Amino acid sequence: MENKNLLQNLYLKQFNQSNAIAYSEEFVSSTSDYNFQLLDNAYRNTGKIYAKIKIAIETNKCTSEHCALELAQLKQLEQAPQVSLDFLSSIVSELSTTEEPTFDLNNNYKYTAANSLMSGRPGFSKTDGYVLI
Amino acid sequence: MGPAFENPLVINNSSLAAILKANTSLIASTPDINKDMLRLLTEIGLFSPDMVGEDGELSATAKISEEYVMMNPDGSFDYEIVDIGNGKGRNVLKYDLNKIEKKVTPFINAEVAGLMDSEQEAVAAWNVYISKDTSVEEDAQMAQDANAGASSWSYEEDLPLQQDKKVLFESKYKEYFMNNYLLKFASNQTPTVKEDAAVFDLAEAKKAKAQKFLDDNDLN
Repeated sequence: MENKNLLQNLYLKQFNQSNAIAYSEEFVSSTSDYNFQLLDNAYRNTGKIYAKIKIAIETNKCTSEHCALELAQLKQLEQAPQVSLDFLSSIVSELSTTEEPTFDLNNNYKYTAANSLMSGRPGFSKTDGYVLI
Repeated sequence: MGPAFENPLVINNSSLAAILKANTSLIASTPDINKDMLRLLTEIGLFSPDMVGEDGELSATAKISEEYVMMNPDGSFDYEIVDIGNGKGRNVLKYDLNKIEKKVTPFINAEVAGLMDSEQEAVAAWNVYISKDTSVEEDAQMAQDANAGASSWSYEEDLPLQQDKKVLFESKYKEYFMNNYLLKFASNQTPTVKEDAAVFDLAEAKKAKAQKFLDDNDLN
């Protein structure tokens, strides 16, 4: 039976290690966009929601008794950036295992691809068709 | 998502947090088999403590204790004769491999039991080293580390490990340790008795051995 993880991981490993893309004139001459704006996208419209809740509390126009629900939402929004950063940090740390010299190529190849994506390797940009949400 | 992904990779924050809290990981890390086995060598009781260096590893001149060397009924060492060319030979120590295996097996079993506390790491060790019996040195000499290939275990399908796989792992782990780490201390070891370590004439040694056989069996 074909071992897909093994084949894909080998390909990705060799692709990253060979630096082959650096010798592609087409790649070198074109622009690559690595700005996935992960946090920008995640928090788009959050400012408006935050302001709306804050105003509701300050003007006493809450929907819940003693503004309990609104205060909880506000707390959640205030903590969200740190939670997101912690999450991203955990993911980056986990994915770095794929770079260990004795990494088992039978692991899910998607993590190797994701590591290339998260670490901005050549060939893994938005321009190359990758999306991070 | 993108060209390298057949379908999108989705990682949920709370699932990841739960996995990390349980001291496990998304991706299996391969244990440092070389380090583990070098440590194991010092723990199996075949070498005297003074042969362990400050770095916790066996010294380059370490020898297996004499109680595991084959002896003749008269208490002398039972040597194997190695042909070194030009009609010359020399003695090398013969080891009681059965006795050695009996001594080390409980230590290896305990080591494997410890490794099985994290089964995904056992799978990684199996796939990278144990299944194909390739040593760390051999892997370092290859452009691409050897991999279990068709005999590899899958994280998705083989975890948790079934008993038959655990038994197979234990047996292959022992084989790996013996072949790549221990047996080099039991081969080509020069005699500890100075006069037995000298190079000699093979024809004369054969004659002397035949004479000894005749003497021992009263056949003169």
